[in-house]
Amino acid sequence: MASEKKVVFLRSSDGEAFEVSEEVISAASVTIKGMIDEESPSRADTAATTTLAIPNVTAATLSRVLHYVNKHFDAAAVVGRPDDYIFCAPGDEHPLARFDDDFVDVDNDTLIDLVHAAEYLHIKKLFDLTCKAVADKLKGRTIDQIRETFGIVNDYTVEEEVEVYRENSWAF
Amino acid sequence: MSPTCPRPWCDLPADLLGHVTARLPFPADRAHFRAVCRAWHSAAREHDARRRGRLPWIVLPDASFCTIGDDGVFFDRIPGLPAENVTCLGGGGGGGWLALDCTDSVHRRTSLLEKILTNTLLPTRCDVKHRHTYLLHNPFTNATVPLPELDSAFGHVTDEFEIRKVLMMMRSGDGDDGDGDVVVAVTTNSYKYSVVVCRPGKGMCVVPNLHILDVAFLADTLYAVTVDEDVIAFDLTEDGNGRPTVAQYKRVIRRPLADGEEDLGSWMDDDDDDEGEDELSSNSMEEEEDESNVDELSSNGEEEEEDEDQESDDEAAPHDTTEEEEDAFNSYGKVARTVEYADENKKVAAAADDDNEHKDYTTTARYLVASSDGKELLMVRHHQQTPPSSGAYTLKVEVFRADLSLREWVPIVAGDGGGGGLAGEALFLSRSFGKSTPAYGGGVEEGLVYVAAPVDDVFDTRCWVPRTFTMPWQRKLAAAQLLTWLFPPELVV
Repeated sequence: MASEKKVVFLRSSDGEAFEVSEEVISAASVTIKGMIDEESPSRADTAATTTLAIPNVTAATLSRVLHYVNKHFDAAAVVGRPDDYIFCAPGDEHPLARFDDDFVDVDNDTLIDLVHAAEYLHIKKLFDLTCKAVADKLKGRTIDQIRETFGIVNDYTVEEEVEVYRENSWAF
Repeated sequence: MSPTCPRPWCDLPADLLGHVTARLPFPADRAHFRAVCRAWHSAAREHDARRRGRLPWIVLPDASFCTIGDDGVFFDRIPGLPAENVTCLGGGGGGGWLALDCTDSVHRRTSLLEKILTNTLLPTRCDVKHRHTYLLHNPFTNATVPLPELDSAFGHVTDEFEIRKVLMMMRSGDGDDGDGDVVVAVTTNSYKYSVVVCRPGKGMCVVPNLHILDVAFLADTLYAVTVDEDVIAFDLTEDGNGRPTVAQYKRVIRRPLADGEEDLGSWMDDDDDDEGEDELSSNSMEEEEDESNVDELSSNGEEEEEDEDQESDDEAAPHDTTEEEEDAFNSYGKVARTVEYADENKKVAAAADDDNEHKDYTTTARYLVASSDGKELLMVRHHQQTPPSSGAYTLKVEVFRADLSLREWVPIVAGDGGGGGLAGEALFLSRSFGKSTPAYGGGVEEGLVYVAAPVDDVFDTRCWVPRTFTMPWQRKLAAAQLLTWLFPPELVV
């Protein structure tokens, strides 16, 4: 087993390359782990580092995602606790809870990009976090508030809308 | 808002929107979600169709909760609770109601794991009392009903005192205050308060000295199953001031006794972990009651039941059925009675440690629940096997139907009638809550019995096989014993 840390480069859709530890990104992203595994036979011969194209993710989003990945998955590698939730009693604040809260405290466009990136890269923890952040923006809101928050145009006909309201009239 | 810009939020893939709705447990939020636009509507519909028949939530004593199933999600706290320092006692009998205990005693809402981690794993102290304020709260309507009667009875107790179950019954119409009439029944682990019936603001009455494991309302009658699997029916009335009273209570099912098993007092002596002061009176009361109840039954008959014509059979029936019933009941009766009631689980565990012998032990829990059509009384026996070095698992589940005219439990077996097992309904049980719901597909298939805590198993009565159900990992870390099921209002999708 090689002791020095291998790195890979991820190239965003707009051409910017980011360096990340292979070990960390493999632990985080199922998608990238798959790419690396595919590459590895050819890489064994050459000492050259790999560059992987991530065509669906912009540089701005990718850098955010890697920030998250390094925080969550590198910590796991260093402390040797692969699942840092295990020793966290219910009620205890998760050590990264504050980081997570700040991480998703972003505008809607950034958030939706993160959701898509997390889904594409198959980073489950990040996907859960971002979906929860979206859900939190919906909680306790009226329909009009939701439409305004997310810039959604009401495309129901009047009749349809009456019907939708009627079905669960207790909720409105 | 400009219609010309791309609509990223409207055009999110349906499965992604499904992941978002999975994190919106409140039906009101889900109703809003689907009303936003067509795309969200169909995404919500698709998501709910996939898991048709939403399973109820599991609420933990610290008021955290989770949805269960493959896309179950854990939530830190039910929003909008009326107080900070609440311990959730149970499901309040359905309808989205929770029974809450506002107290600074953290004993019940602290999980075992948390106690270990914070080094506070101490035995409960019988010399320290805490204040408790009890109330019913509905997180879906934000309605709160204080229960001052319970506060006056056990508003200042030690951590040893435990409310087992709180049942809430809404009687429509005939209440003199017009807007529905709430009757609350409570069972506790204290002989002083075996059954407490109260009408909030009106008063309460207490029936002491019964060994009750579980209670359930069937129509307007409160039924209780005892440690002997006897069923006691409580005839509830009110005095002139609206204060509830128990006009009488009587045994309507008596478990047949085997030869040499008459000595009811001996097992009660073994299990005296309640207050010592009550013990003497409870023993004598129980014996008295054994005789008086039988007399009562044969002489008074069952006034409010529909089976007057069976009256004459009442005395004969138990004897006739004794022999075949014996087999059904005795195979587990012995084990059950040594371990069942009060904090029996802990007791057995401690005993095993003392012996330094690592062997399996079996505990049997009994649950009483009204069938989903409200016509029948069901009892579930849940036998749990606990091996020395691995997790507990469900050994066996038995379901019985109360035949009140024959005064016996009739086992529900696979293959009888249409399909066998529990026809058309599913049961959700925990120590503090039991409910039968009509089966409507999805996770709520007919014949399933969900038993939450201490094992999280779903048991299929059509083929009598247990399996576990999926829950978020956080649930596994949380206190197991006192969790409850909570049924959110149904949403049209």
